[in-house]
Amino acid sequence: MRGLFVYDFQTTLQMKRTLLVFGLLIIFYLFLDMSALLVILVMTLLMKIAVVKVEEPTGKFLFTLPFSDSACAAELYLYPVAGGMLVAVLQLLIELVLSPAQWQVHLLMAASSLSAGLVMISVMIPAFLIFGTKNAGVYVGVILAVVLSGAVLITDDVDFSQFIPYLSQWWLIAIAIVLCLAASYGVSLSRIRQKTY
Amino acid sequence: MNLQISSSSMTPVYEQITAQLRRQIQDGTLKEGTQLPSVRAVARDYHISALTVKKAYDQLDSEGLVTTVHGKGSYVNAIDPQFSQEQARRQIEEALNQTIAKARLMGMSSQEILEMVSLLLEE
Amino acid sequence: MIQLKDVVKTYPGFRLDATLQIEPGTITGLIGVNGSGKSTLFRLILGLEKADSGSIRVFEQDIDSLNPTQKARIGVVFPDSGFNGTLNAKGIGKILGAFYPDFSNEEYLELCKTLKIKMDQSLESMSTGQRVRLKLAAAISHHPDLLILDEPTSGLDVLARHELMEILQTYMETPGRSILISSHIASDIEELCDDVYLIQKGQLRLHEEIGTILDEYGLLHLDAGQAGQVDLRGVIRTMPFAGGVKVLVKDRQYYQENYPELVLDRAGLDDLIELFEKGQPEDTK
Repeated sequence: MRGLFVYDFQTTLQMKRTLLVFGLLIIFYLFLDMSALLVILVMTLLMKIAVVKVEEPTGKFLFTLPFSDSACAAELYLYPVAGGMLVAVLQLLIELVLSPAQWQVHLLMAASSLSAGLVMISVMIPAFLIFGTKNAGVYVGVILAVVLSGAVLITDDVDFSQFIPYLSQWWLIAIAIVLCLAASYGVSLSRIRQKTY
Repeated sequence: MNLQISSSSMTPVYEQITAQLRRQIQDGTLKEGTQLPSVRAVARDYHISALTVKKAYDQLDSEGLVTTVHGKGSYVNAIDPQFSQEQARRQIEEALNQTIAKARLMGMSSQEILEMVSLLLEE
Repeated sequence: MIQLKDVVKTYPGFRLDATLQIEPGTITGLIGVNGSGKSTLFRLILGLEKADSGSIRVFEQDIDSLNPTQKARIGVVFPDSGFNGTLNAKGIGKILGAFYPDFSNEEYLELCKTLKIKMDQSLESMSTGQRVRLKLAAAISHHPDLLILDEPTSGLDVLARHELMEILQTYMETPGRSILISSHIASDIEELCDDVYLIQKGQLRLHEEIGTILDEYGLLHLDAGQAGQVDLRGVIRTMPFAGGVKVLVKDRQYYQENYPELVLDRAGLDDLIELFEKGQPEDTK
């Protein structure tokens, strides 16, 4: 699996355009306070990089490399999650420095954006595997998935302090997300097992 | 080891190799104890199939000119001048037999065959 | 190393039947025209495609059950698929190191230098020849036991092809290794391989040692008159040609000795392909 991570990481490094986008996003973040979307966007980008390598023209050669189907399916999730967590943690740290008194709100924000991201990839990874990344319709699906995951809710100037009491019931949400991911992984794994070149 | 292999000649490559190596061993160019290059090395240098080289080495081994040690290589044997002379004689006898057989098939009599041989010897 | 037994794969309008065996210590060639089934065969052997029936075994195991450790013993070059185009040789080296325990970065760098590969140049900006050289360096530098090379010489000039052949022969000096290689360039197969399979319309028509083909097979050119007069022996294929007939024979020595006046050539692999594509099996009289 490590090889798959390095593959995606090296590919990401080559995306000069992406790094430019990130630069712009950081500006957005600082001035327009669209904080939750940053995590979601990073996860979307990384997810796409991971899935694209499985398709033609690179997929045929990829599957001659030594890894199991389950490792392949798992990495599709783990790569965007790793990136998303990195960004979420960085965001959290910056927010904590900027306004330490509101630490509960910041924590809630970080958790929410990551959760939204996880739900989003649960929907999108199987969608990409089934319909392909070149299919325009799938991108409509991305937008829907982002909306579904409540990310839009997060970016609206919602007063997060009202949700703080819900923090104690985090475990319910966590279970829901885990189930989402498990179902999604199941579908992805079966698609990868069936894939022929 | 030096070989001159013609890839466009009608003489089989395998025969070219055995003939040249045989000559080099018999005239001392390849001295006793010399290790012949690996089959793959020859294949690489002359752009020929390794199996062909192996076949040539095996042939020389069966003629007693070379000894192949599995896993190590092929080494030139000491030439027994008498042995190779006998070998050469046997080969000539073989060739003559074949020619005589062909001539007979064509309907030539022993007398005609002898006449032809004398004529050729005088040339 | 590789065993295919009664393998069948059908597509609309095409059927592949294959039974073949690749032995350790040999370089085996696969020849045939475009569309004859070469790539299908490669895909089946590598488990990228599932056969309709028959068994495919690599390293004595069914390919479906090859674990990653076994897969790491295989190195592959495809003409139409490889690493992501934005990657360069340096990045690919890092990826290979993460995938293969036996990958040697020093050897990889050394090989890239020998093959004149620029480490910072992206795959997609390379010429076909440079790209395939990098693919080969990537395939070899993790010391696989089995190399599967699909058209690895496309886009290479004669010097580069010979260089590649030398690398492959050196690679074969370690025992227990095998190569399966396809090429459209007959001399590549003739100068490198130990044996060859000829595939035609999805069927394996011929399996022979290269030495036997080059040393024993022959190509007779007969005009209409001679065709009837010669006692043909060991005929493999015949094909009408320029008012006469070309005959592929197994034992050219027979004709050299008995019909020295006939036009006789060595048979090369291009001749074999042509005669199997366009000729008939029996002699036409």
